[in-house]
Amino acid sequence: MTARLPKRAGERINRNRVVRFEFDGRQVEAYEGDTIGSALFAAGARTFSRSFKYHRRRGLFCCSGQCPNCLVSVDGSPGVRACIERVREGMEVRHLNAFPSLKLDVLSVLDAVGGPLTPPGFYYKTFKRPRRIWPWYEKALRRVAGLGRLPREPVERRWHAEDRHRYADVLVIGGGAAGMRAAIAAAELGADVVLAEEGYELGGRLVFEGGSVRARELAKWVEAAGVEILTNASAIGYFGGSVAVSQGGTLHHVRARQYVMATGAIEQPLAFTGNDRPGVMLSGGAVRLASMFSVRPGRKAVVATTSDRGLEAAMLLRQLGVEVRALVDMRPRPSALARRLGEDTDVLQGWKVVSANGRRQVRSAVVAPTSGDGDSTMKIPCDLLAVSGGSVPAMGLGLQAGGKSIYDRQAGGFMLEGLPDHIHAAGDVEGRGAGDVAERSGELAGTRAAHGLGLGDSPSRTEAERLSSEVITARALASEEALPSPAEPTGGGKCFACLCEDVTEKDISASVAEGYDSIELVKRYSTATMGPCQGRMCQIPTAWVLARETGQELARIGTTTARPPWSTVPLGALAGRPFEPARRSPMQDAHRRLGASIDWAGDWQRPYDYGDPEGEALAVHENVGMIDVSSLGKVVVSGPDAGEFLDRLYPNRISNLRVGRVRYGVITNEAGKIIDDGTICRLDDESFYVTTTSSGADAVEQWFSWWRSCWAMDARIWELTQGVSALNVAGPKSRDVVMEVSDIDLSPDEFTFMDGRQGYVAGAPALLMRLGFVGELGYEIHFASGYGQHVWDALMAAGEKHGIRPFGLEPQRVLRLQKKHVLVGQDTDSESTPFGAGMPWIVKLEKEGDFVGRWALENWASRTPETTLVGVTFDGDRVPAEGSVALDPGGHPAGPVTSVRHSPQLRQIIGLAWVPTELAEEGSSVTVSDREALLEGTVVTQPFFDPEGEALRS
Amino acid sequence: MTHGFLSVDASSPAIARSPMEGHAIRAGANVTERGGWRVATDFGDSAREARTCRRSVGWADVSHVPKLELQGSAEEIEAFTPSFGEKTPGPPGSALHAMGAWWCPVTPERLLLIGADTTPGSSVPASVPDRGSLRSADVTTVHAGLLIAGPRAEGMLERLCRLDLRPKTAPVGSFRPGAIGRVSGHVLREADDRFLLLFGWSLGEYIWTLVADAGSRLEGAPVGLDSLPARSSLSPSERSDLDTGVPG
Repeated sequence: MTARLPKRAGERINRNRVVRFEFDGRQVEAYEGDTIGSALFAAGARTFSRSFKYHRRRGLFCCSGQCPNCLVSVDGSPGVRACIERVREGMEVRHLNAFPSLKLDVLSVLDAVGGPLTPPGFYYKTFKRPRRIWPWYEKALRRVAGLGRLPREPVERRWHAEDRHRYADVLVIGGGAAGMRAAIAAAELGADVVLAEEGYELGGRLVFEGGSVRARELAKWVEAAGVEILTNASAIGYFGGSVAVSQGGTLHHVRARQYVMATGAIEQPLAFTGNDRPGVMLSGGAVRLASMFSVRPGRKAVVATTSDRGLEAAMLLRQLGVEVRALVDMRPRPSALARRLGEDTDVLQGWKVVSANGRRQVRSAVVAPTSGDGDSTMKIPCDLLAVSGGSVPAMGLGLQAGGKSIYDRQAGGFMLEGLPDHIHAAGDVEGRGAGDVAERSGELAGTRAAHGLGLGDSPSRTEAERLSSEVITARALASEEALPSPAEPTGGGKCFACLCEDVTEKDISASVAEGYDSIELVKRYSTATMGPCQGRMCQIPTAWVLARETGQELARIGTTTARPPWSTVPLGALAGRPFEPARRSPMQDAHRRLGASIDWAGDWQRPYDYGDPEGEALAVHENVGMIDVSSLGKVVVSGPDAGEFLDRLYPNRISNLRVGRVRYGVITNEAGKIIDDGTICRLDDESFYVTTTSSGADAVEQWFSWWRSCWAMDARIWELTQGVSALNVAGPKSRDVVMEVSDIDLSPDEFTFMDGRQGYVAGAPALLMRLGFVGELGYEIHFASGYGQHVWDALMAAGEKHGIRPFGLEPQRVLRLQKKHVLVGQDTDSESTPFGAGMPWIVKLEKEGDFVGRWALENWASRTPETTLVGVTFDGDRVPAEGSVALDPGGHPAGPVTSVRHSPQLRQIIGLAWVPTELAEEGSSVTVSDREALLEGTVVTQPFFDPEGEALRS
Repeated sequence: MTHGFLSVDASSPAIARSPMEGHAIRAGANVTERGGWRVATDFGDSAREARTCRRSVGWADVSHVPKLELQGSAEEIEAFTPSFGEKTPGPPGSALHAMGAWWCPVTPERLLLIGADTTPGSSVPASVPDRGSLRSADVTTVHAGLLIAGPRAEGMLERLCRLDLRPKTAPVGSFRPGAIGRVSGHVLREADDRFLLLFGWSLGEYIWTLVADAGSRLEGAPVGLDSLPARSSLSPSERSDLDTGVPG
């Protein structure tokens, strides 16, 4: 710990507690409270990582998490800012972007040769030929590009943050003096306030600029006011009325009615050759390092500035024991502070830094008059070059919220204006001011936010007016003369406008020369402002160079559009927790125990098979099988008008259905196109139980509800899909199985095909319907979902001696295909009519009254459809892919093959296909194009299996 | 309306289960048959579970709680619903506690009755008269339910849904439809620190996983029915409603 200063008041480290961690395999000792950056710096490290493009040495620069210079990898996670990440015992820190080592990086050769060879946009112009070696280029580029490397194996799920939705009256962003006073003011007027601060503690600049006592007082006051405080919490963006705040493992979505932006201001770098070299630091960063962590940022410093901010930093550095060798003030005339400092320090008024020299770190600064007198350069030995190019308001969030970035000639910078009424700015983001203007502007913003909520009384409004005038006065006192450009032309070497992307001043000039002459175009072409700092450090330098090159005023250049994220955020924080909403049957545990292969079917997780789909299908033909069909949509329609209501929704007649009978129905839309199908069972005079396809349940319920409200009929609709589970027991022995556990007389004469009865199955109240979707004698059993496991177990037990086997979706698809039963959505699409789908019999145009789609269906009935859905058997062993194309006699595509399977029962490949209607005759030959192969098939108009339906009527 | 098959029959020998039973058992639940249901009575240490509900947040599977959905004209629904003078539950988003049930208007023409008694086998006390267009259906197994109780209950809800459930916007008796874990559901605030979550039966496993995940970050734990605290933080006026009868 070579660079530690003596213990001093206000430091944020606990010298009684040593924390050990590794940096590139080397043990480093730190104090509790240290950041990785302060600890490494104290231990003598100056280079932490290498830069993005040129692999230049980079070290501490801003010490506030604003810039990309100190990005490291921590415990395998790249992109961590060493200057704000606190040390933890045993953490493993590694550099980024250097191979084989940080000291000896082979790609640093790019720094020597890369400038002319890698101008902006070079990747648009190179690596194009020869085309065949692009895969090699890609591989090599992927290895070289990027900031750090993700571990090959995902680091578990710890990067997945939880989402928290927090409503609040006021969200204050920024926990400096202004933010704290805003939070207090709003809370004391009765508002529910959340305060988000990206640092580890509240206080902002107070903490390192000698105001730590006041910071503590305010922090206690905030707590006492009942404000919810989120520290180490970065606001990453304003999203249409809410602000996302990332705090470790939690992503807070704070939806407030009023917002206070107290995001402060960001100190800007200066442009000169070598302005990225280790040892060049922002003046605020140097002060922060010394005052918070008692780490000496350098022994001999040169401070270069465009404003009093740098001079103030020089004073603090001197108090902290740093020898300030020279003050370089770019302003032509000295300020009062400059005059005072000039009494015992060399102040080079009207001078600038030309270059920072040194190999591994700064060894000297070359300075020259801003007037351009090249003969007057001076070389000043130093190991710290503290720079301050003024500060710009941290207005990204305010801009995202609807504010405007306006260039203020008087202040010489961009200001945040035109905020919506519910957004208030406080503190430095509004501009700096004299005295305690930050606190007063915070109090004003918090009070106004409370007023915006209807809180506060007449005295508080009077107080707000008083505060307002005080703040205006204080800001006027502090306004400075417009500054000269901090981006003056420099000599040879690299002068960076954008540290994140290694974009030099020359790159910006080159972009302009190529015609990219607006700030938005330069951004896209050069990638300046697109790196981790998101323009915080490079927006203004880029704009200055652009202004110089185009001869335009900065006011015309403007700034780029502010978009989220405003702060860096791990992608895992945006991904949320890794849970996918899945609907599951109450019998899911039984399926798992039976070894089911479970997969998605719409939003359900369903058994596809139990390991032997062909065997499962054969079991249904030979003995008995059972499938869980709980995902079927289920709706009860009840009321005096229920029958007539359904008559208007289905093209066939429903109202004449007898109690205890079931009928198949297809639902068509106004255009006569099929939208769903299912069965309807009449429960009593006024009640019908309607089933739908699994995927159509919600849509059918909405369709029914829509028409019910249109027709104002006395029929009520209950969507019961999840409340009722269903099993289909099918096969020649299904009757024997079900009879064993049911009190309903299932004898063939008493319970015929398409009958429906209520009774008990295994003691559970149930509705049985005798249906035949899979082509064999079968019963669909519906019961309250709570009984799912019970009924399944009972039927499996009863069926054991009959050889019962569970079967999944895949065998079910084979079985229904054998019967040519259509799957709506699979065999039909949005253009399919019942006539084309081979179901003209379902349309009862002779029935009285209107129904949805009648007019269209009358039209369709009078025309011959171009294509018709038919069964097709295929020769040979090849199973064509679903989606392969049936051809017309001329060899042109006619329609798709929608379903196709090998039938173990029929020992044949069977399918459904839309073929030209002239081919839709028994025995016609049809050619199917399956990728490059042409397959021959034969049309079958009847079901493939049991065309007379004897099995299911047995 | 004849639809016995929609209901769980407490008198039948068949035993009903919650969709979250498997997860509860894997979390250490002791499961007992009560009132026709298998329910998680405790997770091994009732005292610890009660402490969890007092100090952080506990969640209990109450899917067995009876639920009835009434539909009818707005006038019929209003006539059937208990009235407490100005407290009549007219405005959307508020439920009324009466006759041992929560009366939760979903729309002017739909009312959800939820049993307030978590004892398995209990029923919704109100009997629905068969008059006019008023109809009801047992929806007990349409909605699975979790009771979230404890001082961090609101914090858990913040992690599960996007509803504004702060006390000043969602006081006791608030009944809010909304997305719970990205699927539709309802939240009923039974007391200051006690919420009933209703969600689709088929989503039980999914929601349990979400709740357990959020709960683990809040030092919460699953609790059995026997450890559930009484609705102690119910306001005095709400408590008096418990004994109020249904007019008409």
